[in-house]
Amino acid sequence: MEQRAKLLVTIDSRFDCIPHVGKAVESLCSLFPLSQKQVYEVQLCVVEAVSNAIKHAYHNEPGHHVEVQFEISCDKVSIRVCDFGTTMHQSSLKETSTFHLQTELADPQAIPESGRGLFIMKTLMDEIVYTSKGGKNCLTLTKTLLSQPKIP
Amino acid sequence: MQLNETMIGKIAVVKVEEKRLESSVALDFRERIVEFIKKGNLHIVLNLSEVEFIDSSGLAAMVSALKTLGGKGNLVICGVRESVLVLFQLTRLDRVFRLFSSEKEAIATLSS
Repeated sequence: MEQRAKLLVTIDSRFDCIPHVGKAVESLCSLFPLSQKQVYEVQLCVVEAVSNAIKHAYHNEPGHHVEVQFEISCDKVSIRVCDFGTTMHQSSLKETSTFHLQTELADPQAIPESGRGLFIMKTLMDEIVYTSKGGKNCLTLTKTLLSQPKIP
Repeated sequence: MQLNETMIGKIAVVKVEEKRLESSVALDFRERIVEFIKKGNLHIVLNLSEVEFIDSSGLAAMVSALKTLGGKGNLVICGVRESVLVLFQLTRLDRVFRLFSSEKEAIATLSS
């Protein structure tokens, strides 16, 4: 039987709730043969997605629901973060491809302080899909995990 | 959040005594380090050796600190763990901040 783990949690839209989600994801990942780097990257994407929901969908306002669904198996990770707040413009997903270059080439005073979250998720995940239906916005991230090399 | 601030001559060593530097503490971190700079501490070694996890809001706070310096001083970073280094590399901030493996090395470079 294929090993699989799933986390379903709804948190309040408060930043102090995010570390608990991050640590739970990290714990689940530790059940699978992921490198430290992979575990960090997966946790980072979950944390960034939840942070974005609080910041942009709910404008940093507590008292709202953020739903987090995290699934992991030996070959795949799936992250789904849903909110019931302000819908993101689809164009926001497309405007991140050169973010890192802006950082590298810019005068330090011109380096953007924020906005890296989407860029990070797009870079680390294989697929990122944003849907909005009936007032519910969901960001779904998926990544295929490459098999670890067998130690001879 | 816990920050440990030590002066070594004109160099201020700020050690983050938290395992996670993310949105729950990033605002506090930014305000404290910006205030620290505005008090005249212009040569800073930021020690991240205790930090196991940073997200983009932690990075944003560091960028904010660098911009507050406005080219009048230095903000260098030491003790970045291997997993956290990935984030600096991904965002190309490893080309903006000088990263040192040890506090000693960072202090020696700023002192020269």
